[in-house]
Amino acid sequence: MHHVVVERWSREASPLHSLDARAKLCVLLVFLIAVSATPSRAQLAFAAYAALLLAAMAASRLPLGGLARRAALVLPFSATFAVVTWWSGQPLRAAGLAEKSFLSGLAALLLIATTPMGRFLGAMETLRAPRALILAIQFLYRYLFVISEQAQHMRLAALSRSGANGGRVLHFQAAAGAVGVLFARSWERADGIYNAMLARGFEKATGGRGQESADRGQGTEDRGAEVVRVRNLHYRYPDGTQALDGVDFHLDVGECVALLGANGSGKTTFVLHLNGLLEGEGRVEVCGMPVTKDNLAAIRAKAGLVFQDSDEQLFMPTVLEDVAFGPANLGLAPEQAAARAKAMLEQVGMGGALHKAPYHLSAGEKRRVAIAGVLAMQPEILVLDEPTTFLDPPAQRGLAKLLAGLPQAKLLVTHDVEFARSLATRAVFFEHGKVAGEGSVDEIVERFGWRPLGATELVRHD
Amino acid sequence: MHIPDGFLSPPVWATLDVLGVPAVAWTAGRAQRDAEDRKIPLMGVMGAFVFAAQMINFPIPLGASGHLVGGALLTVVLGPAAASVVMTAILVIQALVFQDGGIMALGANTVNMALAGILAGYVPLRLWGAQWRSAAIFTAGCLSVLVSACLALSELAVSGVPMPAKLLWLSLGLFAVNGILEGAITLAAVRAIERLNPRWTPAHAHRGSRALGAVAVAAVVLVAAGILAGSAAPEVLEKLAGSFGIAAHAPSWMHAPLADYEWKGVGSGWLRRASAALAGLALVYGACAITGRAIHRLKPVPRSHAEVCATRD
Repeated sequence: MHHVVVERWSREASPLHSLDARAKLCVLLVFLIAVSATPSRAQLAFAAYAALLLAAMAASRLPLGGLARRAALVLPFSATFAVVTWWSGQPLRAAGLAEKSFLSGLAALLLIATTPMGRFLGAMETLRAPRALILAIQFLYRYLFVISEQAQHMRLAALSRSGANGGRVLHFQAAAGAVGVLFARSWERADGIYNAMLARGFEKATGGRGQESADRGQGTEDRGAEVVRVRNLHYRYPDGTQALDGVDFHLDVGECVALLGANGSGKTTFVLHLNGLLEGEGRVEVCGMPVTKDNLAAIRAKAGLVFQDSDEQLFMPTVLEDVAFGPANLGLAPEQAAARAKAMLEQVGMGGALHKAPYHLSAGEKRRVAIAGVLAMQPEILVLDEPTTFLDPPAQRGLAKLLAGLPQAKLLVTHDVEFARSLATRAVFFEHGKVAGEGSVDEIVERFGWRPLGATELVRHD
Repeated sequence: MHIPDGFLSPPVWATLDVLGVPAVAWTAGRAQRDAEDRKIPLMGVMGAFVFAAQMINFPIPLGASGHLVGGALLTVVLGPAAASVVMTAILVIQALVFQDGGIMALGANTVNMALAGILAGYVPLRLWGAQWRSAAIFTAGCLSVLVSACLALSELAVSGVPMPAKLLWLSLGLFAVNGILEGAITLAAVRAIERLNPRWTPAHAHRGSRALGAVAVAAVVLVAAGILAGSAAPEVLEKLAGSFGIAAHAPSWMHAPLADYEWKGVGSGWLRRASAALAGLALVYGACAITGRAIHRLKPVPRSHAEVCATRD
């Protein structure tokens, strides 16, 4: 995919890469204006522009052929018009159109192929571009990778079922359905990202209030050993589904509890209440504070949520920026936030990936960075939703080791019994929005028949 | 429809850049103000969605296929201001990363697609969305593409890119097909999305007069077509003006529109052309306002609830 290559180029090193993004942008604009204002008669000037660009391309140490080929994307459009212009008796002008568009396209490509998008947007921000637009571009670029991959998978899935006709295109209605499904996934992803932003202290109206209320919230109540206390929690989704039906729960300091239960039994809905992303009826206390609107900033700093889909959690352009997002929302100065982020990344073993784009990480690395992002909020509770999904066995073991070394109280929502057994001292079993049982992991697994496939005698050949 | 750099003459792109910057700043401010915070990541993800949705091919007769452009769909889902910001973001990424549209031409492309295109799609949605929802969505798709295309063609023509009548008709025909296709795809996509969850496609409708809506839509089409006709085939306007006895001194500028732009001799031609366009706009606006008022007068004025209650006693 085109943008993947351009993104990779932008992270290489060369004299051109290390130039200030604002300077490069200004030079580009001057160059483009000059090209645009040069009359087509002055063919020599175009040769000079081309030589200039060649020199810059050489300085960028990127493959010349690759750059030229990608800039040639402008040619279908300009060639059409060039032919018409030629045909109407203006060959010089025709050549001018094609040359101008190609040189300008190449120059723009060279800028973005030597400047990571994050830095480019930073430059735009200092040049006073509107914030809503910059954020839109930033999220667009980040999720372009994720969603176009998803579309590619959907296309492959459709092709694999298309049968004899070769399935070059879907039926009209089927194509519309595909757009609908893609939309639904994108929308839900946006919701997930928004939740992840909130969970890490993002609040548009508050600005620097996070730290203040976090301080205010500390030690307001003698809470004993419990960091989470939930009494009689009910929650009904807007569509009428009763997701939680009278849940009682507690989590003690330093304890690690596994939350087991079938898909749709209310586990994820339950943990979303612990940091105020959902509001049900009943009482939820985190570190002695009731979860209410006034407390949200403090609560979200105390209860760190690591989401099931790391791509939703890692929404900033680079790993370092992503981990620094939470501390910055707590009101830390940029340098302090970055310092804390670096320390957390070291702690999870990702100190070498500071300036990588989340897109380039493996599933296990993404999970580690997501955990670092939550740890940077210095929470007292870590809530992990399906932490082992998409991880290979070595990455699972690495994660278990990392989590075992963290002092926080932990709540693991998981289907992975082995993982739960290796970490959790207590298990809680959810069924139809209620707590159906509590005990050691082994007891619960035995009582509810929750043994993994390999351990049961499901597949018998008698 | 994405104009690359090198095609527009400096006065054209400069004017549109100067127009585009404050317009984008305004829509961005507006989107940020009325958006709930939730819309901040949503705008970006929807932009990525449009990119990905463009990879899905829709079959059309004769074995060809087309794809979604997305402006009207974004307007249905996000409302006009946020849709405009998303469209601008898409154009920036396309210009920078995909070499689809130029950097200096970004102002022109933004005005065509992210501002005029979105606005042209929003008019039918707002006016007909309540009564004729399907027709409104279809028209929104058509208009967003057609208006953008007409503007792009006229900017090229004003810049002196040769545009023989045949080519002009051919491209207009292609754009008309594209417009109809975009309308159909937008409608089908909105239906598919509604089936999954109706909350995703809120109604932007503002119960207004259908006839007024028709006038507004006609005005949008007329303005776009008029600008195109004025810039690409000035002799038509010239003849028209002649028949009204306006153009006593038939201007020679019409035959030399900024071709291979050079700094000398721009002034008068440029000014006259611009003022002709403005006069045309004012005429269309006046005609619409008068028709609108007439329609308004014909309709019985709805009485307020209190009045109705009072007459019952």
